[in-house]
Amino acid sequence: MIILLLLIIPIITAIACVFTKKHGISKYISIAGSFIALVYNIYLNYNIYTYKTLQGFNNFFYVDALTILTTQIVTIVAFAAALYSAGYMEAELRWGKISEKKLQWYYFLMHMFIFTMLLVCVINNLGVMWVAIEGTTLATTFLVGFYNGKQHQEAAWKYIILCTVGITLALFGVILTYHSAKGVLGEIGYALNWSDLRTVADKFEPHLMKLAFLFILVGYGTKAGLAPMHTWLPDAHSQAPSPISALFSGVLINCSMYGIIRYHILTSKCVGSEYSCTLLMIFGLISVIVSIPFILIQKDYKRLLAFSSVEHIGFIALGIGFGGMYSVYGAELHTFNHAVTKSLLFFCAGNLFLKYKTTEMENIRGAIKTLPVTGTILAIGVFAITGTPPFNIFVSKFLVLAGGFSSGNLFTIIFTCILIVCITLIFVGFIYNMFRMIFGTPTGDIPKGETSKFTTAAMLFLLFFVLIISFYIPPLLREVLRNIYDIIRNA
Amino acid sequence: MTAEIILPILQILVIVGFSPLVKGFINKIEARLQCRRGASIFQPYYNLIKLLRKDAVVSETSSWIFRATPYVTFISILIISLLVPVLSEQVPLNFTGDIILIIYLFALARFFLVLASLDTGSAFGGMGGSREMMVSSMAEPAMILSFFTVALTVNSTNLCNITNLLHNNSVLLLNPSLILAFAAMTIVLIAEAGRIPVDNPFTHLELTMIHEGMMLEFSGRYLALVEWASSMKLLLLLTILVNIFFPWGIADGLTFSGLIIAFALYVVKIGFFAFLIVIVEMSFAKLRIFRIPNLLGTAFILSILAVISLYVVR
Amino acid sequence: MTQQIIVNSRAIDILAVLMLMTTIVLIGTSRLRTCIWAYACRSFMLTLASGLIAYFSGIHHIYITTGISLALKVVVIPGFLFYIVKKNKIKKEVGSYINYTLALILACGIILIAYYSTQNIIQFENTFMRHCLPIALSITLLGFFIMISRKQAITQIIGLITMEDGMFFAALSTSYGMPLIVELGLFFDILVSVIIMGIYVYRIKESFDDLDTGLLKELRE
Repeated sequence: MIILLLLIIPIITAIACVFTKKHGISKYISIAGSFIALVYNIYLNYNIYTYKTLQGFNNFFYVDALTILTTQIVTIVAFAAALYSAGYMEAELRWGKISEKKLQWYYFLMHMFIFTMLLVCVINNLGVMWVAIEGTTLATTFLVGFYNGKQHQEAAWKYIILCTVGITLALFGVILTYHSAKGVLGEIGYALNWSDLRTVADKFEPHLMKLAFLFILVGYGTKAGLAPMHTWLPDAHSQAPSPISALFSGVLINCSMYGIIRYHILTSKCVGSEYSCTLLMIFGLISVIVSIPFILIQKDYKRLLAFSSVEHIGFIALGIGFGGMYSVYGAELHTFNHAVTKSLLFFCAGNLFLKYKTTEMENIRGAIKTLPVTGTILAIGVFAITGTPPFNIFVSKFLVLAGGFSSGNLFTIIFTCILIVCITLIFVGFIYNMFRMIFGTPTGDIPKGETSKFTTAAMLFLLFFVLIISFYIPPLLREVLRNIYDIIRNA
Repeated sequence: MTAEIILPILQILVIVGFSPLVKGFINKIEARLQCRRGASIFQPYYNLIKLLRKDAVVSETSSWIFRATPYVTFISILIISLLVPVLSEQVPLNFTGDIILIIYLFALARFFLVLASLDTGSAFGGMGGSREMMVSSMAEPAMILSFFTVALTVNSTNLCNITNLLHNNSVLLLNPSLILAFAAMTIVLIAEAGRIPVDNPFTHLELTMIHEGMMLEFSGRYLALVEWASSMKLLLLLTILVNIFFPWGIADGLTFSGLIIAFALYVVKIGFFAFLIVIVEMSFAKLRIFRIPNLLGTAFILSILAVISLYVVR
Repeated sequence: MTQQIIVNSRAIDILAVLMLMTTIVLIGTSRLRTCIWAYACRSFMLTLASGLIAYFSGIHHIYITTGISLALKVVVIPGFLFYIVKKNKIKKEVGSYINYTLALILACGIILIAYYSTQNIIQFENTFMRHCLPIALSITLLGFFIMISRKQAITQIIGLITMEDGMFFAALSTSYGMPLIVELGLFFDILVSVIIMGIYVYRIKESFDDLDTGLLKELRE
């Protein structure tokens, strides 16, 4: 029951927002709703700390450490996005780009999106998890095509087509898993429950499970943004409104990765971790390498951030694939760090867009003079996202690389070396592109001053997390990460 | 002894005698569906009698091929009528030929007809002949593969064995590969018999003719023989289709009652399929020439799938 | 194997082959309305097959999925597609990147690949409904093929639902369908995605004045 409450909060917020006509009220409803979800999630976190796992509704919901980490990320970024939307949408309303009626749907879809992501994390039944992941695609298509321009509609069409195709391939994987499970467990309703499958996975037929994992990786990997299935990602993330881009880059790809990790655990139990780890490493490395040229020659700053998401999700896949204690710990910490840092950067990008009204990096100069707070935070964020010490991403990347070197496998060590080269190149690309925007003299007559209090508050909220994790990992987080490693390792 | 004489005579009578009636029936139904009265069912007979009485006019520039072709065509199709199970499972020329011989006899008839169309040197004849070759170059593989599917189902290419086994063991007919083969065969039937949507048998525009174009230069008894041969070809293809895929009612031996029942059911089945041909003719427009490969390509693909699926699921 | 079981499984195999034939018609045709009718026919065969499987195996929740499939895939979705065609006044024929004869031959190749690759799996299973898994896989791959070789947006939608149909049939024939709640979620998902894509077809037509997705090349690199 307590798990169901977590899911009901965003639904209520969504319905309340869609019936509120004035933006002045609905933004407060949305902020309140996401704040309540955040607090409730922290309460659930303490529950997990004590009880290790939670189940509800006759094993329909299942919450363990992996779930609670992902839901925590979702609720934190959702709250920040709700705060930021309040300011950003107000500015766009004043600008005249959108109407109030559209905003009703915006908040409705945003909270339904948050609901589907939470549903993905807490559900036990692998089939319904599939439906929920497809649900995230459906809930967000209209958000990608929110504005009426040509490139927005193109991005939305590409998004829905590519993601639905990918997820249909993942359905084949789910079917094969169900088929294997039925052979072992018999014809019963819970043959698709992850918690039950985990105990009997070693009796499945290896050939079918390998095929299933491959399809799941390709299918959910499309949603997660692993190359070469990532082609929708730069378009969708750059054409959506900035708070939604933050939710995409931060949390949606994490939820898809969550689905892949669940299957990774099942497959490791069945055929040993060699197969799935190798596949994850290959896809991860391809993602990192593919993103490099696009980051170096990018002209649009939101697309730059989107390609950086591809690189980071490849990194997370690599971390899980390396398999050692440090790597997995680092990869999971990286999901958290990347979520908060990337969202922070997308918020800064949104502020830049509102001030300069252009998405090309060529046309933006002197951000630190026109937007002092945003400019500073942007500088910090760029250093953070590229893995500069002492920031949070450096901590998680260091852990993953250390785990890669400490494993005895030759391929892992080679991959790690290639990875270090890639990270350096990306650092160069980012610093060059972003810092040109921050410094210099502002072109034209741009009025100075921040967009709104809400946007600043959202950015400071996320900056707080970035800085905290840089220096101190709270014991709650440490415990959760250790539990996740145990779950993955006990396969 | 008597059985060996009666059966071939019966089969020849049925095929040769009834093929103009089938054509007349198709024309009549089509006319009725188009809200016309249409010619009588026996009109093709009257046409044949009229043509047999007339003089044949032969072009000066043609060779012996032109004069031999009608006979070659008619006789090869006549031989096919003795190779196909019409009323009974026992086929008269069973000892000397099977499916492959049937296919080659069709090819022989077609070959001579095309040569004759080129022989007179007329442009329309050449066009008709080359188009006929194009159509059959794609239809024939589909036909062969469909036949092979059936043969593989019963492990024999002998039509007598095929009909016997399929009649007695009807469960074999429920094979999905046979459905694919049947679909391919219907498309091939339409192509080989020269009906819409492949070829319009009533067209008077020489530029759109395929089969009629080859027959343009024939007159008198030659034209009678070639027209009769083409209507026999239609009936034979229908007979093969009907008696292989729907063999219920075929007489086991040569009993009188068995043959009467077989004949009645045969008439019903052929009538039903003729009606289906009319429906197809009325529903579709004639395809443009360069679209015909699409249709026949579909038939070819269906027949390949029939054979492969039969092999894989064995 | 008793005679009855053979006849039952053959009946379902025959329906599967009819579905395959309608999918081939879908690939070989150039007219948009024929595509939608072929899809409707195939959905009808799928519903019949699902009903027969429910009847033969005695599992009652498959009847529910049959009913929903009939309502959704045979009536609602083709109706909705026809409505989109009429509303957007689409007169152009379906555009394709490769000509239709080549597309048919490639389709044949795809089906052969599907048969070949499921050979191993079929031999491990019992001899029941042997044609179904290769045909289900080939319908999925053919749907994928339709999506990548066609330019028009509505044909891409049809390709997408073809893929989902193939998956549904694979689930139905190998493990008698998924648990009911998953099936319900699947149907809901198909319905909503077709509606959303229909709305986007309208928006694309408004923005680009044409439904040729080859024109969607504003966003590069």
